[in-house]
Amino acid sequence: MNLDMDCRDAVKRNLVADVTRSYGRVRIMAHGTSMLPSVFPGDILIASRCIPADLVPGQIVLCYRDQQFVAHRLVGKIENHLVTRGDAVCGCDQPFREDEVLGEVVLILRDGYPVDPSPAWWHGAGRWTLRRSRMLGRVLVRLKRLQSSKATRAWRSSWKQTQVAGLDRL
Amino acid sequence: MNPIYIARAPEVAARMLGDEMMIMSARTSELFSLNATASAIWQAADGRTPLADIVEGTLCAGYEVTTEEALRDAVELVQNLSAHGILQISDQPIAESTP
Repeated sequence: MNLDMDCRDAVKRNLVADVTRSYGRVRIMAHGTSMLPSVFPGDILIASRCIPADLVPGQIVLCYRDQQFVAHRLVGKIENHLVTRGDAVCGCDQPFREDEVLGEVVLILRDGYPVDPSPAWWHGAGRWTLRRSRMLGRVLVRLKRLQSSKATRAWRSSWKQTQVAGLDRL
Repeated sequence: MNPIYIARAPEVAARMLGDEMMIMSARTSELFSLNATASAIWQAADGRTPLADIVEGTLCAGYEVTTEEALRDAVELVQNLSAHGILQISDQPIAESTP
């Protein structure tokens, strides 16, 4: 285990949480396939601070717990807790406390183009199928990668680290 | 040469990791990492102390470097930080802003 990298990653994640809580808006890159077909790995999620009581089922919420970000769809509320679930996942997440909610995802940027985070009519069928077939998820991600142009890859890599004297952009 | 005043940009969050400063811009969500020297300048950027004084007080005391050389490098650095929107530069003292 690389402790230095772990510390850096932990500090980065805490900074993202700080920025969202203090300034109300953050952009974060999605990883994983739990939100297929709504969110693909590499999508940029734009989250905006919100009042958890105002959230309604169907919205994608960005939560932060145990130094991990989770952006899953809200499916319900139990007392002061929010119940979320990944679109491609069968079970619900452990409910999030209201103070673990950073914001709602208001926009998804895919290959530089905006995508509405609200569930589309065909997502229902997609979710149902994806929950039953991991292979389909892998195929979707592979197809998406093939579809991405060189320009898209360049746009995405601009999010990665470049070095300037005394300053590293991460 | 006119004095240069520097202040941290208002919409940034920063955390120290060892002698390195990690900064995130709320405007662009970009993450930056400053080395020890740049961190010292960043921490001293109060909007009231001229850059020349910061360089003399923090850098020249700790490194074997002439004031002119250190100031030249510091000016280049602060311009760089300013271009990325995480530091403000002015030839007048900068009033403190609250988020």
